[in-house]
Formats: sequence, structure tokens, C-alpha cells
Amino acid sequence: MKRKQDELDLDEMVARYRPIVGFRVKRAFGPANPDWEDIVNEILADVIVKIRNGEFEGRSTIGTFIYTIASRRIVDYIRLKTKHLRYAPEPPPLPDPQELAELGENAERLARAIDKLKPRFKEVLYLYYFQELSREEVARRLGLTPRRVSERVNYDHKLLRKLLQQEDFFQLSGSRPTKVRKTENDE
Amino acid sequence: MMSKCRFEGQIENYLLKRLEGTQKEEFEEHYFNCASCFQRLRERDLLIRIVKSRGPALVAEGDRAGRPGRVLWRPAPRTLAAAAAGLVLVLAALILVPRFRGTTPEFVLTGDGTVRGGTIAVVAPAGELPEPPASFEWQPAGSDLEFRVYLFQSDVVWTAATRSNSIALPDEIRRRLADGGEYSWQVKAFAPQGGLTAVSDRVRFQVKPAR
Ligand SMILES: [Zn+2]
Repeated sequence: MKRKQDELDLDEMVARYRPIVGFRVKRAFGPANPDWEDIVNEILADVIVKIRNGEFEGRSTIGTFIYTIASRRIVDYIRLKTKHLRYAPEPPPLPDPQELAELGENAERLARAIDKLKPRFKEVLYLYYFQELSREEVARRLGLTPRRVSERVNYDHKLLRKLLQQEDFFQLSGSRPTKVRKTENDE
Repeated sequence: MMSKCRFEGQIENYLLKRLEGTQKEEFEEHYFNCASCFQRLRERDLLIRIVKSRGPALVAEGDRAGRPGRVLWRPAPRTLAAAAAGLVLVLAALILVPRFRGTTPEFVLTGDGTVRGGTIAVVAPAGELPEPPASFEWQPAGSDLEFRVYLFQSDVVWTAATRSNSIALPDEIRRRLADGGEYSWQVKAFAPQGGLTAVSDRVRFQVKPAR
């Protein structure tokens, strides 16, 4: 599909890509770095300028175009920052209650839902995401088959998706709630 | 209806920092282009962050709810061999696993002209310890470097510098570590001009006297 600058609604584009650029930048900077928001704004402003100058020629997707601009800006920032890092404030260690608070009420609701899971589902989440073991390692550790572990992880994911869609966490559009199969949790 | 994208299996690997170089870049470019993957990425990220922030409390809950003496994991291995293998893994996991990969400064991005900071491998302490550690130790990471060690709880508890690859803990700090709280530590290497050259993972540990 060929797209030209005048076919792009810039406001819509910014609204659509702000969360994506924000995610990418926060990921690169670490959650404790307060600069991310400024950098996201700079990247989006740069994207708009480049589109207006006709630098987006539609040879790649707009997503890739923005990705490239964002990646370059991140590299520049990091290069500058590493020179001063020694004197930068220490990032708070994890677990960071502040960070969780920033995720908002919905995250708290989700956290409570996770707490209510049966121990075997929580164990899998803990080993898999906190300890970062592979499925195979989790399986060996719990005396299960890897397939069983996958089932439990998938159950957790489905529950999460169901909750997120109910709460409209990220203003999801057009996606229907996923049914959580009540299988293992009811054994 | 969203069909399953071929990148979907990468979401977790990305969030858990298992992707490097081109693979990581490809996935990043992909989620700029795939609304379905980006949505799942955010959801999964939230889940992982919640699990990370809850930490071991997530699985310890059952104990408080009136099941005294319940061990954290009761492996149900089918054979003795499986039990032995499991034990080895548990030990390996205790030594290797409790690190906050997520907090390592991310100037290790690869790509054109990217600054690539080194990493320092920590030796000890990590995981659960029967008594407060006497020192922090890491792998030698080059000559003419100054190492700065940071001990964290909710904030930096203690910091000190050395040119060696280990540092002794003052008695006062050792006494504090005996409180059973969760601590983490990290070491950074600085070049003579003061530039940061390498960083370790932030490694968790906890003193739990054997009963
Ligand atoms: Zn995708």
C-alpha cells in the first residue's frame, strides 16, 4: 500500500504510536528513568517534521519509519548518558512498590486476581516470570510435564486477558472477551 | 478475530531479555507494525511486572493462610532419578536465578554505533544464605578499574569502592543483613577517567538461618 504524507492524519498517527514509542523508550531506559517522556515527545516531534519534509516516502511502513527514528534517538540518548552515568541517581531496586503504584488501580486489581489464583498457578507464575526459569526447568522443578506447565501458563494468560478486557485496560477495541476454560483450577 | 502472529512466541523472550542483536531488533520493529503483538506485549509486561513486584510473597501466601510447614515447592517426581535431577536444578536455580536482569542499565543495546557496556559476572552472594555474607565477590573485569559496590534494600543501604574483585562487608552491615529482609547488590566498574565501563546484574539475596 502506497502512502503519502498528505494521506497520513498526523494526529491520529501520534495517538496511535505514542504508546508504542513510549514502551520502547521505557524499555531501553529502565522504568526509573524520568527522561522517557521527554524523549518520546522529541521522537514524535521529529517524526512529524520528517513526514512534513517528505522524508517518509512509503518505502517502508510508517511503523518501521517511526521505529527507526526512535531507535536512533535512543542510541543517542544512551551514548550521551553513559558519559554521566556515574553521577546519575541510583535507580530504585525491584520490587518497587512505587512502580506498581504507577501502573494504576487496574494493575492492583490484576494483582489481587493473581493472588486469588490457586497455589499451583501462582507457583508457575513465580518460577516462570520471577525466577525466569524456562518451561522445561519449571516442569522439572514441579515434577510436571512441560505440556502441563504450558497449560498452567496459558490459563494464567487467559485469565489475564479476560480481566484486562473487562476492565478495558488499554482501551482495547473490537476484541471479544476470551473465555477462561475452567479446567485445572477446579480439579 | 486476531490470528496468531508468528512473532507471538517472542513476546515473552523479549520481555525476559532473552532476545539479543538482530532478533531483538526484528521483534522491536515488528511490534511497531503489529497491533496484536503490541497489545499482548503490554498485557504480558504488566503480568510480569506484577509477578516481579510481588516476589516470593506470591507463593508464600499459602503459608499464612493456615497451612503451616508447607514447603514452597513439593516436587512430585515420579522416580528417584527425577528427584535427584530436580534437586540439582533447585540448587542451580538458587545460585543462578535470583537476579534482576531488568535493572541492569541498558546501554548494552546493539546496533549501529551503539555504546556497548560490559557486564560483570557476580560470584557471591546470591539466593538464600544461612548467614550474612562476609564479602561481595565478582569476576575480575579488566585491569586499572575501580569497582563500586551498591547494596540495596528499598534504597541504597551501603556503597563502597575497591580496586580488587571482592570487598568485605563492615560488621554493622552484616548485622543488618541478619534481619532476614530481601537485599540486592550490584557492582559497577569505572575506568580511570571515571567513565562507567561495566555493570553487573542486580543480584538478590536473603539471609535465612537454617532451622
Ligand atoms: Zn505480530
